[in-house]
Amino acid sequence: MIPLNPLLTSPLRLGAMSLLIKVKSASFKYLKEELDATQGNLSVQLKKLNEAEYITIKKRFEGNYPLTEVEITLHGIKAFEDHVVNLKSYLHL
Amino acid sequence: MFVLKITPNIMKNENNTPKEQLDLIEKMISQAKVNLSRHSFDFIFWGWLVSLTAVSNFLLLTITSLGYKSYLIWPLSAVIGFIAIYVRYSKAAKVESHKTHVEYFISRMWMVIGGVLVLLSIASPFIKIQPWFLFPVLAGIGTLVTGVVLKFKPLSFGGIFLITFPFYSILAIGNSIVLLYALVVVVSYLIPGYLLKNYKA
Repeated sequence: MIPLNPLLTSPLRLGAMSLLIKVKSASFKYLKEELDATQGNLSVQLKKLNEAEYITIKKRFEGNYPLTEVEITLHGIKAFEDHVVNLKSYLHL
Repeated sequence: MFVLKITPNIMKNENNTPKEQLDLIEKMISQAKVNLSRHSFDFIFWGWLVSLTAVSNFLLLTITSLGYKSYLIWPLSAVIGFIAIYVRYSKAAKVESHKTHVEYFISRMWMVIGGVLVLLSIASPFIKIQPWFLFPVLAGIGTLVTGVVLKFKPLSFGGIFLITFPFYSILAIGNSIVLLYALVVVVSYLIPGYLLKNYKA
């Protein structure tokens, strides 16, 4: 059996990828609330996904409001899909 | 100060089993649903604006001696509408938490249709455009596609009413076509808009 992708076995990273696969883009605040995560922990985990080029993180200002937008990349979609297939094979689904 | 944060078992820090991982994926994907009611504003706003413009146009045609000049109320109404929408979406972008692929598609589609409608509004005094053909058909295409994509039938029917307007409007006599258009906009935009606003998925 193919070993599971270690980047996606962490619940927080996998949760973030699962949310991002369904949306075009999501704010950092949205991910933090949906994943019930702390700001520091989420930042660290998203940084790891960003370094693996699974996601892109864009920071911009809307007026005086800072906004961090996160998007999944094509590479990230492929990794996520492969991970799901792999998980199913582990469970003989 | 220590804060005790209780996280559900599925989100525990260590790696989950394959079964737990699949459960987590399913849970997260089902959380990111399209919020149907947030699309209602545009239909309600444009529904009121266009139907009131049409009624005003009818009154100007029948009560005053402005004649064809009364049609200038349409580009004026379009400019007011687009400024209002621009202001609203500029504010909304600051607090927008996420956008689904469906919402992204709908917003881009209406941007294109809106742009074409503005160009046609500006060009209409200079070139011979049949307004009762192009405008309802273009708006109808957008409404029908939105209804189909959101799987919301009242909007789909509204789109069909608008697209077919050039056909049944030939039965309208004289200026009554303007009133008929107001009625169609109420049926195609306002009613589905209010139904969408109160829709519970």
